[in-house]
Amino acid sequence: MTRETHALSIRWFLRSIHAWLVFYLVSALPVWRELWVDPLSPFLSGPPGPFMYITHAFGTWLPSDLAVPVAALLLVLALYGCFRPLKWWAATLVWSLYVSLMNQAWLSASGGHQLMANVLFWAIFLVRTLPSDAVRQERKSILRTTAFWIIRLQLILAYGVTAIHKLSGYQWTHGFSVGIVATDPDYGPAFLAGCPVVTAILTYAILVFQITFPIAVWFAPTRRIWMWLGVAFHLATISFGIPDMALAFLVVYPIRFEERWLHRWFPLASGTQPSNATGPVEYRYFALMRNADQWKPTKFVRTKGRLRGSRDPQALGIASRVTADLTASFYEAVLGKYARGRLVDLGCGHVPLFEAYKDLVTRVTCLDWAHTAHQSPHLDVEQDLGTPLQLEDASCDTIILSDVLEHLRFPERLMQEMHRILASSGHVILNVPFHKGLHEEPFDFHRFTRHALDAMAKEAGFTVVELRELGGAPEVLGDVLSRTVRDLPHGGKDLAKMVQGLTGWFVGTRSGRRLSERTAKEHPLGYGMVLCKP
Amino acid sequence: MPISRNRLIVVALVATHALLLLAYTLPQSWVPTRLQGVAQRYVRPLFHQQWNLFAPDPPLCACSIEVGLSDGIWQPIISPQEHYLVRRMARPLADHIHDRNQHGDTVVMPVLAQALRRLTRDLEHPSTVRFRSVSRCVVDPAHPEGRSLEIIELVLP
Repeated sequence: MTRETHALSIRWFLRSIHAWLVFYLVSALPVWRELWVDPLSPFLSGPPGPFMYITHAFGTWLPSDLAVPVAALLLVLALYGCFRPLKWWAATLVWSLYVSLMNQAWLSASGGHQLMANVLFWAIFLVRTLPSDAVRQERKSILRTTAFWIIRLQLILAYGVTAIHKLSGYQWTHGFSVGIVATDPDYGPAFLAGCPVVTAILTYAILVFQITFPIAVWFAPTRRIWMWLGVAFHLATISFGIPDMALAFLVVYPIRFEERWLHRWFPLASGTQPSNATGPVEYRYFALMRNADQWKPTKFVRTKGRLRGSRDPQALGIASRVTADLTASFYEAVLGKYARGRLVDLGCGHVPLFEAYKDLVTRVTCLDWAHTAHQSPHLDVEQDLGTPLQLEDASCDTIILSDVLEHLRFPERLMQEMHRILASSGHVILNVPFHKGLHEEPFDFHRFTRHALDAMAKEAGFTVVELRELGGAPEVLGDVLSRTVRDLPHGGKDLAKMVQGLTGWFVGTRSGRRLSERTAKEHPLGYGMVLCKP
Repeated sequence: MPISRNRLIVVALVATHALLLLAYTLPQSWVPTRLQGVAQRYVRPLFHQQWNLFAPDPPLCACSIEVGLSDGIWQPIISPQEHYLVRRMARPLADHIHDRNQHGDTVVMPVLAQALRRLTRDLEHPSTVRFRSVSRCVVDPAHPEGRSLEIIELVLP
């Protein structure tokens, strides 16, 4: 059974709810005085507790004169959120500002506003998460999955509870409700009242739709039909004078979209066709990568918001810290620009870069060979990378090849294979060492110059998008020295750590950085490269 | 197995949240009193929501407030062309005043009177205007177009 992740539906959901915020704020700003500054709504005291100072900031500590700047700030954040995922703190700010504005104008708030307050809260856990160490990684995965399912259930709950309330009334069960609403001057449209049969049919249709929606969306054959019915229903309710409520429901729909719909509807914004476009689909958020919930940072960790080499000697040799820091910086710089869609990690090991690309891609396939020193629970395909890859033509959008190419007897063959499996406009992101001692022997065959890399890529049919040196002479010297002293019988490891630390410090200074840049062309520690399949 | 454990945690968290939301939003007669109390404490601060728009029945009375100008003309306090958010705010004000009228109280609560004055502050002589509550109620739900008219003059404190 193939599995589908929800990275794309989450991305579109986050875009949609921020688009709703933009719509709401732009439509509300002309009546800012009545809504927020000198509001018609009587003061609404919040429930006791510390959250009151967030949800009811206006009226507790924030002067209402600041409502318009607050709305403007929220508008800026919402506009940003339409295009790029917000960081956790920005998402928290968006939620708190929105809720405080909503409660300041509570008389104008509808169920749609409350729905949005709820989904914005849970969206905090869906957006890019806090930088974390290995221990917190698993907890965050649980929180993210919980938030995802709560948002999905929230939509169902809104329909289900409304339907139950309506079933306990008289007008809905007797087919009168739409007629009554249509003749209400505040809602309309009045012309419907002249057609009692139509209003009765519409009343029952709405009731049936709301009762069945919570069940129908769980099954693939009915999901699409009911969601289209929902779109029609909510667009129709715009004519009842509740556009914000109607749109609030609609913008939550993408959380229930299937990835393949999004690929079909928005091919340019969503990457190319998904690899699992046909066949049964198992809905599991954990399925971004095999055993994703077991993943733990190894070679690279995120510290203070920055990806860098691990300082745990079990995960990374003490003499490799500077090298790993350089590699991590390279990947962090390019992944955001180029990683998308279906990613294949060739020679994956423990998939050390998963943390860096997991929010950018929709599916991760891991390949490695049997001789690897890094047995991984995430492996999808076990094979020698020197042989034809067991993947279909144009079946991925991004390939990661980290510290692998030098271990292949015939690297050109892998280049050609990568070109074959990559979809058009897809990218290969790779790095290789240049000044590095023999490692993982006897499978250490090559060191490549920039000219060799460039020629090999072009011969395989790639366009070289980026080719940069990673580190220069200071890093090379630090690397060689620390590897030399590491094996001293007494204090060698401490000395190696010190050399690595000093190298890291030196190349962080202005003069160290200049020296590194000046010498990088001639004495690089390694290379980072981005290739594109035209 | 880590997957099973994580899945169990997620299922427990989602189920608890959904249960408490249901206890908070379902008709009160459906939910045990004790659970209602727990749900109130959990949901009210951060996750408050109501799903009662047009439920259990749509409002039978369309209530509005009209303003009497010095020349004897009455006009709606909120014009139908007014911004939809402002119109929506005026409706609960009118509904609330109408409910109190039904109990014989024609003196508007100070906090609502303040809101009515804010709505009329842009008129030429806002201090001289009079207010009245107008409700158009459905008499026979099978023929909702025929609505009875009730007008009650209001006293602002």
